[in-house]
Amino acid sequence: MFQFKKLYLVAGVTSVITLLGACSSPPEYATKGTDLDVIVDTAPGVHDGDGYGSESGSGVEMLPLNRAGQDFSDGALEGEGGDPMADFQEIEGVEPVIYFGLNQYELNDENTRLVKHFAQEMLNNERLTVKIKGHTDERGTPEYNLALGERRAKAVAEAMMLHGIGLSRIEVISYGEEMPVEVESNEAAWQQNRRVELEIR
Amino acid sequence: MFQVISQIKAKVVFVLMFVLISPPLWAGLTIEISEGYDNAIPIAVVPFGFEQQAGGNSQGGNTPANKAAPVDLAQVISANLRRSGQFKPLLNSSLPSQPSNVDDIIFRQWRSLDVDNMLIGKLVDQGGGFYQVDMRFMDVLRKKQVLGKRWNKVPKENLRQIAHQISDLIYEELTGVRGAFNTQIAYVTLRKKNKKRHYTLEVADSDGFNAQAILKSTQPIMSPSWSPDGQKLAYVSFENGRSEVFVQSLDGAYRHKMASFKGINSAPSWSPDGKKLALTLSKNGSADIYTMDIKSRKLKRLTKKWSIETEAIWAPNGRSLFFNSDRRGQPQIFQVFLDTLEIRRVTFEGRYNANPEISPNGRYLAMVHGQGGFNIGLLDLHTDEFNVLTDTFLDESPSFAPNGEMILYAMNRKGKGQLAVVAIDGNTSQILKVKNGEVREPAWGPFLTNK
Repeated sequence: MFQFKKLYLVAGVTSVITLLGACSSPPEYATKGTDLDVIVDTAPGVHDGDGYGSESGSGVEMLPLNRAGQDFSDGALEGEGGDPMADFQEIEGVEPVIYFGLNQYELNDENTRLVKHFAQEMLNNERLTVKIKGHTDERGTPEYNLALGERRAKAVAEAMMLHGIGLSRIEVISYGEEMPVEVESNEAAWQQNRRVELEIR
Repeated sequence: MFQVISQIKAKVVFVLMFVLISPPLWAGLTIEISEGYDNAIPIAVVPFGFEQQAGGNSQGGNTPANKAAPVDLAQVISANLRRSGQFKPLLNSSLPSQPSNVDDIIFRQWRSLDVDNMLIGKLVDQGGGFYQVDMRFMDVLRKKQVLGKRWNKVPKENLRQIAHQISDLIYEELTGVRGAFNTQIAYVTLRKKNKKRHYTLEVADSDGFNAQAILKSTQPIMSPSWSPDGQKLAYVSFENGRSEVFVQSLDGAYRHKMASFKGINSAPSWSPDGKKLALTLSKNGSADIYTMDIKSRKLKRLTKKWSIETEAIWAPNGRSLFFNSDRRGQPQIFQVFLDTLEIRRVTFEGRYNANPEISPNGRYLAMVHGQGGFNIGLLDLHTDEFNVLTDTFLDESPSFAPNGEMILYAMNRKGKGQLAVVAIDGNTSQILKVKNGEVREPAWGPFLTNK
């Protein structure tokens, strides 16, 4: 048995996710010394050879696709040596947010169980994909925090994969300290901001 | 000598507001200077005379009563000199007279004020929006002109630039160090409107005036970095839902997406020759340092570690880079040499040292130093002397002025991101903030003119 009291304290996270996911309007691009904003097309992106980058190009409105309805051949990679969900227990109403200690990125037991819960949800519905978004608090440098947020998100992604979710169903994004849910500069706010959000759809 | 500055004295607080340029919603930095005046040199900056050019307009050689000078050049210059912390311009109310010609100076008036140097000048309306600017910098003791210069046919909108150039001339004359007033800064502002975040990347003069947005987005913008020629900015934009690196020319001619690899694409920094970018990419696992040839876009990987490597900057000679790595558990500064890829640790003091910035002469390394709070630390690479320069809250993103005398950085005050400037000897500071928003991620641009 375990408790999710702490997690029930979280409010408004769902709305934040909506904000992050849906409201990306194209940035305006103004030339120096004029009153008019001039929109200039972005040059083609760099291709990595690993498949990413093909959808880049315009620099405008490039949001990751909602992949619901697409077919994924490697949807459920069951782990060897038994069902990883054997000790799974249904948890209702848990916010899909995982919190971390200061400068921490490893999952504790409670967080591992939480990840397992969401992995099961995805195993039950092979059409679901997950966007794993890593965040940090505002302390420390923005660039280091961008990397730390990725590290947190990847720790969650690895745990999801361990529980049978294929890599192709997972997208990892770090926002570093750029998207706080609490803007105050105190311990309580920082605790809320050190988080990984799962956007399963 | 270096000291931890505890003297944000607020003895004298000047607040300069300025008119919004365009677009009005976005432009605007307010400067607040808080400084100790202990060793500042008194200097007289006399308000410039203003005349209509003879024959240029119907009113002849006298100042028309209905027309005021478009820019108070003396005020701009004295604000600059005061901000440097090294000079104490006299208040206009304590000037015994306001000469604008050498012949009008009564030297004994000024000697009795204990002022060694004075600036006088003249602004002449040449018609059609053009102005002539004359300046003379006087040695009061020797009753001689030290510097004299005239600018002809200056467009009205460039008059502040002339004031900055005059400030640079005076600064160099009196300190022997090139002035950095005629330079620009870049920074990111964040404003919230209807619960939506609005980010802008702005470029302003070093005194916060003439702020102009060059990019607006509803998604985060990070880490602006100036090209050495001052014509381009590299930065990180989340406009496509995740971090990508862009290069934008300030004249609006182009904007290129430089890096959008899988994972994070961040921390761009220009090589001194302007041909390469240092980048942080995590396409091969954890965040590592790469260099990219801007023309061919060829990448070279400099670090291969499970740990986080980021925030690389080039040494001024272009042969090595300083970067932040947590390979020892906490962030510390390391240096990688490009020829051998040999890596050495640079910082040992304190648990958290991140975001290195090297002074233009290569001697000082500024960084974010975490010890209890986060402040700007300065390491003298020649002597290994380390000092904490700031005592504000959540200090980050240090950036040297191109003459190496001041460091611009971001901090948090009253729950809002603001910019501050501190002298490298810790002896003066100033704060820049935006109205109704936050300002962060500052980057001080290079000298705008060749010397």
